Amino acid sequence: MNEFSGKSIKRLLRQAIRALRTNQHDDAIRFTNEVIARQPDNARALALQFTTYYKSEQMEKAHRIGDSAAELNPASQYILNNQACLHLGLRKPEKADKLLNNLIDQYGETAQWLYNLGLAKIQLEKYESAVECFNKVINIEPGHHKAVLQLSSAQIKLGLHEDATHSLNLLRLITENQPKINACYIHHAILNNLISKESAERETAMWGSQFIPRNKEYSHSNTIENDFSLKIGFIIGPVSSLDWMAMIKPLIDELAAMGNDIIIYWHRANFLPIIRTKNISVINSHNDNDADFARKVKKDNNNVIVDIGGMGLQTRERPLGLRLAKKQYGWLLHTGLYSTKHVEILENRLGERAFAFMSKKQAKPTETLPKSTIAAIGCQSGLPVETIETWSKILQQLPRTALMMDAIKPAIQHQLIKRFKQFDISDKRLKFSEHIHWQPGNLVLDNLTNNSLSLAINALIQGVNLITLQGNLFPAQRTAKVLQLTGNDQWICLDKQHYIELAVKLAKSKTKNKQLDSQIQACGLLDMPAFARHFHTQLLDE
Amino acid sequence: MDKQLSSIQDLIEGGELEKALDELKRSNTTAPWRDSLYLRCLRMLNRGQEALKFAKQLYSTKPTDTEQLRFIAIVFSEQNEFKTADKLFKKLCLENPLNADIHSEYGTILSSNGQLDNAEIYLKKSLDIHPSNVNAHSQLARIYCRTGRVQEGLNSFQRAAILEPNKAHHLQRIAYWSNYSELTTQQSNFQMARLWASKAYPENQSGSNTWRDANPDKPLKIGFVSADFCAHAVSFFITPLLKNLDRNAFQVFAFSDVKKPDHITEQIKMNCDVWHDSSRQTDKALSAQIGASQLDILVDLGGHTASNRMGVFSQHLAPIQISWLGYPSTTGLKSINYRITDDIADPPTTFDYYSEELIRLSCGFLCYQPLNSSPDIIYSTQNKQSDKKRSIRFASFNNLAKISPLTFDAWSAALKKVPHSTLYIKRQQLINKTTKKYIIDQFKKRGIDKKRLILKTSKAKIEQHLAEYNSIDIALDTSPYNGTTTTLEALWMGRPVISLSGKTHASRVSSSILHRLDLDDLVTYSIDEFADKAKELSNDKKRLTKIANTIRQTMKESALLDHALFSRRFEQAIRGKWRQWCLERNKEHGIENKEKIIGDSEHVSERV
Repeated sequence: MNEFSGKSIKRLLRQAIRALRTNQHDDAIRFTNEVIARQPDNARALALQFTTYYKSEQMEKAHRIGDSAAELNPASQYILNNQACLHLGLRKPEKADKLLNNLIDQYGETAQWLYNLGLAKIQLEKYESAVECFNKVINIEPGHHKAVLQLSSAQIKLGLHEDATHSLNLLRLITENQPKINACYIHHAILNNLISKESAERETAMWGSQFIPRNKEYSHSNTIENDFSLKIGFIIGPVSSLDWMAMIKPLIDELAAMGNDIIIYWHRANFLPIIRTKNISVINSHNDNDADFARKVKKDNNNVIVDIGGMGLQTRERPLGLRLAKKQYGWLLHTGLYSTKHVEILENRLGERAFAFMSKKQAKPTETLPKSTIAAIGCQSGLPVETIETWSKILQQLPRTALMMDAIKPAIQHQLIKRFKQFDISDKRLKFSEHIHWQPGNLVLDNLTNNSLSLAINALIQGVNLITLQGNLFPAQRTAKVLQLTGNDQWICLDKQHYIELAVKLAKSKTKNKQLDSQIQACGLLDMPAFARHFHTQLLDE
Repeated sequence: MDKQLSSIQDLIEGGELEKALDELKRSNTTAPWRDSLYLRCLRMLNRGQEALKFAKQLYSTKPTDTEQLRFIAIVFSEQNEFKTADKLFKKLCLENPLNADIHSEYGTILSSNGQLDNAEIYLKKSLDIHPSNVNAHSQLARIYCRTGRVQEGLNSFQRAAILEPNKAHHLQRIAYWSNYSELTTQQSNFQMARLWASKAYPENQSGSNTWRDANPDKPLKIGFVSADFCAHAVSFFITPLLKNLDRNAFQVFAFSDVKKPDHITEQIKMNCDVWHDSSRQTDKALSAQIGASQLDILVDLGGHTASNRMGVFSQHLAPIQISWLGYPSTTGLKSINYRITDDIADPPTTFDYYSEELIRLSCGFLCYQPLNSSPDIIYSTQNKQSDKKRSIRFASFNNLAKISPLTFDAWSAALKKVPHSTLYIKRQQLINKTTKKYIIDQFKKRGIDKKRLILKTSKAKIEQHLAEYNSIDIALDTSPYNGTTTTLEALWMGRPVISLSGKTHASRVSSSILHRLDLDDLVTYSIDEFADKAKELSNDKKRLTKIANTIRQTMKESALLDHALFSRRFEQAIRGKWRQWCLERNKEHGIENKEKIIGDSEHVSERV
């Protein structure tokens, strides 16, 4: 005999409902447990128990019975949607996908279900379907900022940069006063050449005027003198591994070897470098908010700050606007524009020799570039349509030539194939490989709007013919700077027509630049110690 | 003193302007803020002449206070005393080089007086001083858009929208101007219009909250709302409909927002049963007026264009609200039930990116009435002087805003394909040096020498404007925003129009027109095709001559000029939707109307 003896199932369920309504969750569970003990397949009891667990935030328990509850209550919107959410939380997207599709088939599309379905598609890495779902959400609820955010992220995963920039723009119009979203939009718009130089300047200036507190700059008493070493803070943004290994870390090592104290403020989520050099310290600042970061860096009392990141999702332009050090520079990965007058573009001071490269420790090439193939770099995260269209025109004039791109993610490759097809380039002419062993005379094209500096240098070292189209914005001028430094101005094009003609000519002639190796050696591109001295001198210079 | 100032400011903020004026009259005459506030109140009360008189009086005392001078200058400018305003603002800018507001106000005044080059300079200066000056961003946006730099304009509007997130009108401008950009998709335009609607009218819903007699066959009260019942493109299309609507079935109301009525206004007025001048009415007052008129159908002819009445339409004042003619895309308002189009301009798809349901008229969505006094067509492939064959002259007399980068690409490709050809662009804004330079630079960038361009400004009468077509061979259309009246005018003047069709309604209007004339082969779908067509036509003098000789008659015989046919189709569509509304309305009312519902539905199926 127990407390439930003699009570009918109907009565127990009634009591469970009453308990649930009055938030007496334990009682509701007891009553439903008794029903389930007598009738394990009692749909109502399972539904009530799931609801009780969910409402009392006992998610694990809710999830455990959720699938059975959903199976026995296939028409319950509450169970199907919430169980789908629990699956998503536990990264079981297949199950969530099934439940949500079931819901939509029964009742039609709602913003909430479509949004959850979109999240499931993202977890399943079906980004195209995710884009479709989020767009439908926005069609229904135009101010659904979470859907717009997820949409932009799915579009970035697919390498659809124009679409992603449009979504980020929509997002900043929906959400008010969000510095990161605005920074992200500016970053994408510039990297994909979607705004003019004037617009980029206005956007950046407005960002500074909106988000950097006025008249709150720190004062600095420390002076830099030529005869003593510096304390240099490096803010490292989302740099690529090659940038870090070949261009940034070797420079920092050299600067440390010269007696400077270095603090690295690390902003990459994936790994934190381990550096055992005495006068280099690494601080993980990835999760710091701007205010904490500013206080932290100010406390370090650096003489100079070098920002390698610029505008973007992880921008530190707000703290930089507070003047964290007496001298602040942007170098290498910025957009060419800073929203604060307290940061100077270091390349302007460095002149022709704006960077150096250490050509060791690179990934082993997996294959050589096949015959009748042009190589393309900077395609890892997709390409803007402007680049695809221009390269397609080159391929149209070289009907037997293929294009080898360094994109390895299947989603990106799939989209590239699809987009080249729009310009009548068949998938048979597109090849993908990340690490190519270049041969002198190979023709290499780089991403038109966002040059891949380290990849370009790496290719040049191997003796290729590398051509570039110099754009109006800094990210589209980086490769031109290297070509100028090495004395290869003949490979810098100022308009698309010239670029296409030159590419076709070089692809046909396969001319080797016999002087390239000596040019590279002579210009100091590979002389890291000399570059570090030059860099240091500029930092010292008042 | 400060107490008095703040109490007056409170009155102004609270909209109690008359009281504020009284307080100001009683305040100390030596108070430095008194006169500026007085002027401000007069302006806000729309007492322009009084404001001008007071401003002149103040100006004669040679004031030195910047604020005072600023208001005086604004009043001068508003009351058409531009020269004095210009002089004053120039001085103010010189004396206040770091005052962003003064620079932006001067820029605005210059812009509204057509001095776009100088306006641009001062607005940019304002932004150099203060990068977050909203007025400068939005004024600059207007200049950019009007002079063809639409992408720049859109970026500037976006910045204004970000700086003033609570003011939905910036989003409305973005939605409007995005029709001119090839980067806009149907979906992105739809999402922007919906975002605007959700911010401007968050309560906006579909469905009618109005009561009407749900009689499917009663004569319908139909109202048209427009700011373009005057010498404007809209008049070429609305007049034939108003003339031909069956007066036994429809009573026609017009709500005219025309600021400067002209002879066309009079003609339109004559074709309406009830005419109401709403040009000075607020949305609230006009809504009350329309509400009192108990209309069954309300048609918007402006969409998101300037002086629009979306605020009125957001209130669902008639059971059926319709968008037609003046705007090429969705309004984003759920309270506008339908949009009139056709299956060429908006081919059926699985999802229409419209908040409105589309009514596709089988005869096309346009019905054109050409100018009675149109000049005769004169066309010859020979050079008048030398009697030799002359080189081809292309032309476009479209709005400069429509000349997008895509259009530059297409036109340049055509010019390259037809050696020695020239392109004639005629537009008033070409008077501005910056605009002219921009156009020349865009062609230069595409390898077209400026010698091949004929850029003319024009303020000619419409007959002279039409006569200009006699000096050209082929008209080139703009994309993604096609010409509408311009396309029809070129055709009416015997010139073929080559069009580049896209996916949006705006980019398919010419396709719809050309289809009605059996000229579908002039519709192209890529730049290469566009250039090839230009070449093909240029080499086919026989066809050019034939078109010149026959097109007017073809047009007269086509659906485009069959005003009676169009009006019948229009009436049928409206009546069908009205019956549907009655059916749904009666269903809502339940059993007591059951018999009537059955009767109605049979009736509907029989008629439809």
